[in-house]
Amino acid sequence: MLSLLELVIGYLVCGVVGLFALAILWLILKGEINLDLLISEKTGEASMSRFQLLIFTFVIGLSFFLIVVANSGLHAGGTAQGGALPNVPGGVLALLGISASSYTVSKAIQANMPAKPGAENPTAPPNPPAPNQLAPTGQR
Amino acid sequence: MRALAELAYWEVLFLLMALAASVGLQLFTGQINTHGLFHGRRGDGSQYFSPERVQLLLFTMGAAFQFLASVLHDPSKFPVVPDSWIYLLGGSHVVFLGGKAGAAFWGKS
Repeated sequence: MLSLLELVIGYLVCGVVGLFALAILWLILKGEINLDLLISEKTGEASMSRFQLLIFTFVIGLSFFLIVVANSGLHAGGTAQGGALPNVPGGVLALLGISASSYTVSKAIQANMPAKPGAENPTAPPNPPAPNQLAPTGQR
Repeated sequence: MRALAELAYWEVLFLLMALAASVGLQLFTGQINTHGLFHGRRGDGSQYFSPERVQLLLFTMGAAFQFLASVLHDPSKFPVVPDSWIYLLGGSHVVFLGGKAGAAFWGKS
C-alpha cells in the first residue's frame, strides 16, 4: 500500500513539474517570457559578468544532474548509491563563488559610477512599459 | 519505480536541454542582446574596446568546457578542481573588475 502511494505521488510530482516545464518553454517560444535583455544592463548594453554567471550556472546545473543520474544507477555504467545527492567539493563552490562575487562587485562598481551629464547611452532600448501603462486609462 | 525514475530523467533532461537550446539559439540569432559585450564604459560616458572582457570570456569558456568534460569522463562525482584553476579564474576576474573600476572611476577618453 505504501509503495503504491509512493508511486502515485511520484507520478503526480513528475506530472506537475513536467507541466510547469512545458508552460515555461511554451511562454519562451511565444515570446511572453522575454529573454532579450537576459544579459543586458539597464543601459541596454550586454554585461560580461551576467554572461559568465549564466555559463557557470548552466554548466554546474547540468553536471549536478548528470552526477545524480549516474549515482542512481538508472543507466548502464552508473554506480548505484541509492540516489543520494552528491557531495559538492569546495573547489566547485569556489568556482561558483568567484563567478557570483564578480557579478556582485561588477554591479557595485556600476551603481557607484559617477553620473556625468550626457553620459547615458542614446542607443539603449527603453525599459518596457509597466503593464498598467499599456492600455489607456478606462479601457481596462 | 524504474519507469518513474526514467520519466523523471527524461523530463529533467528535456527541460535542461530545451532551456539551454533556447538561450543558445537566441544568443546566436541576436534576439538576446549582446551589443557591447566586449565594450566598457568610462566615467565620462565614452565607450572603449575592453580586452579584459575578452580574456574573461576565454578563461570562463575554457574552465566551463574543462569542467563539463571532467564530469562527462567520470560522472560518478564532481571533479576535483585544482587550485591552479581557481587562481587563474580568480585572477581573470580580478583583471576584469580592476579594468572596469579603473575605467569607471579614473578613465578618460
